[in-house]
Amino acid sequence: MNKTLGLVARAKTGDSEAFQMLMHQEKANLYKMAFVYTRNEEDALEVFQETVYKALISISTVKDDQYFTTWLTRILINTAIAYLAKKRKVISLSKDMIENIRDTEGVRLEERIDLLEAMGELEEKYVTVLLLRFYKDYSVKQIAAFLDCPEGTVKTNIHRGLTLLRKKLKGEYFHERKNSCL
Amino acid sequence: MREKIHAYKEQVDRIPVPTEKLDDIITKTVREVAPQRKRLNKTKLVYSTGAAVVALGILFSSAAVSPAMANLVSKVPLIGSIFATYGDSGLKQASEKGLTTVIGESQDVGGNAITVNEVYYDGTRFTIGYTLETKEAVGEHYLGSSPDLTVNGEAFGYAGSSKQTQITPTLATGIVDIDAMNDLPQEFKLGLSFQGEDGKKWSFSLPISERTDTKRIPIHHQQQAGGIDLTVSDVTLGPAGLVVSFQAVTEEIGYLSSYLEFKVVDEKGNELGAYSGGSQGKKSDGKEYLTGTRRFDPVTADVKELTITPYMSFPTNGGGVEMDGKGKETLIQSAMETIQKHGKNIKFHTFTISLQK
Repeated sequence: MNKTLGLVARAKTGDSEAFQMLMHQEKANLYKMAFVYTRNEEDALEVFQETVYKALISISTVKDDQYFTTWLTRILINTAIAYLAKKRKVISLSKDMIENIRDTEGVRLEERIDLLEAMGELEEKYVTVLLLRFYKDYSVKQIAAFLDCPEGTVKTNIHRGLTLLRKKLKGEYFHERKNSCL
Repeated sequence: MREKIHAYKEQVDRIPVPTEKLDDIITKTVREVAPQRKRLNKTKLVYSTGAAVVALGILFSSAAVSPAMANLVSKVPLIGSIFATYGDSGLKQASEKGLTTVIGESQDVGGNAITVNEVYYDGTRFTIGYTLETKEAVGEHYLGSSPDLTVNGEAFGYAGSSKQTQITPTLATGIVDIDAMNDLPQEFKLGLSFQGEDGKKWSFSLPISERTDTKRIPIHHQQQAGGIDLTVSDVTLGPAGLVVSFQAVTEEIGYLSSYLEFKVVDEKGNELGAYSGGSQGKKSDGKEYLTGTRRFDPVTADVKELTITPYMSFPTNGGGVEMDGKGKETLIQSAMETIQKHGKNIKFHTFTISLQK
């Protein structure tokens, strides 16, 4: 953590080597989140590139270095949503993409494609809260602060997002307990 | 709940990551957006600097240069020191001591005005402070990237960085830090050209003189570690910073020594804040020769000794880009893997220098 803070401080002064190191630390997470929104490599790479660019030209505006990752995640999410809004077209997994997944991982292919498809069919507000809650491990309170909206709205969107996902996946992967803290 | 988290995380984590493509994007983005390093005649490496080709293309494809350059040039009241507000103790100190050169020259292009407020130039740093005042809110990226510079009328590619701070929606301050100063004369005419994303262009011509109150202390400290022959040749002290200059020679393994950093501590145990630095290298006879500088906070007058510890600082992944004399660039494949393998156990000795020389 201290090393990351040091890198952020250096990157803010214009040290581009430090900036690159930060991007290499974050690249996999950024790409995966971009992919959840776009559901194809080409678009996810576009979103990633635009995110790196925006981060580079505005890193000096990071107010609190310890929230660098949060700041970067916000850029990625805003960029992905804006990108999709611009694109607004039906995206489907191509054969190449399916082959790529099979070649790379080889297991539980159908499950993953189902889930990626299902996530991609959700409204962006649900994708965002689910990513922040279950991938980035943010608390409801943190998500509310991140999105600048009431905690109740966050809870509702997480609940609805999960319900929609469960419907799409026929309850196969998400087994919600009655006493869920959501 | 745990099941939900587990399922979701697992699915997202399993998305295949095209690491090489991401590395390529990072390298290209940084290389294109950050100011270009100066090009040497021989093969050299270009590190860090950089950014998004596509995004830049969008930003500047419409940035046609207006031929109407009969701009209003006037002296405008200063809004206060730009340098004092950037959290850079060297600049702040120079500003507070009145060591910066006040320029206060303004140009208004179509209602948007840029004022070059102040300049600081000595043996340790060259920094320009400006303000941008616009008719309407234009956003923090209006000026896009660092300005173009000329020195005595000739284009000057530089390593450095620029930062801008939005004060109000229509007022921003900015600084431009130029690192590669070795080839700059003591006095010259600086051409400074900003471009807005709407095509507006502001061009300044400013006389620049080097302050002479810096002190260069030869060190010629030499040591060897992990196949790196390191020479710390000198440190330069000035009111706005301290610069450590070094040379390193290694076998040809991907410019290992460009990952050299230095920890500098005074005799009271205070570690000096580290800022930017640059390295330039060339290959010859199977060896790599690197020359670089690293800049730190200024030291106070009562400091008599500094303890310097060289160390290696590696990114977790990535690589370098090689550029030949014609500017053709090649990605160095798997450079980082090799470099980390060679560099992970390199330990340098700490050494002490006296500032009383």
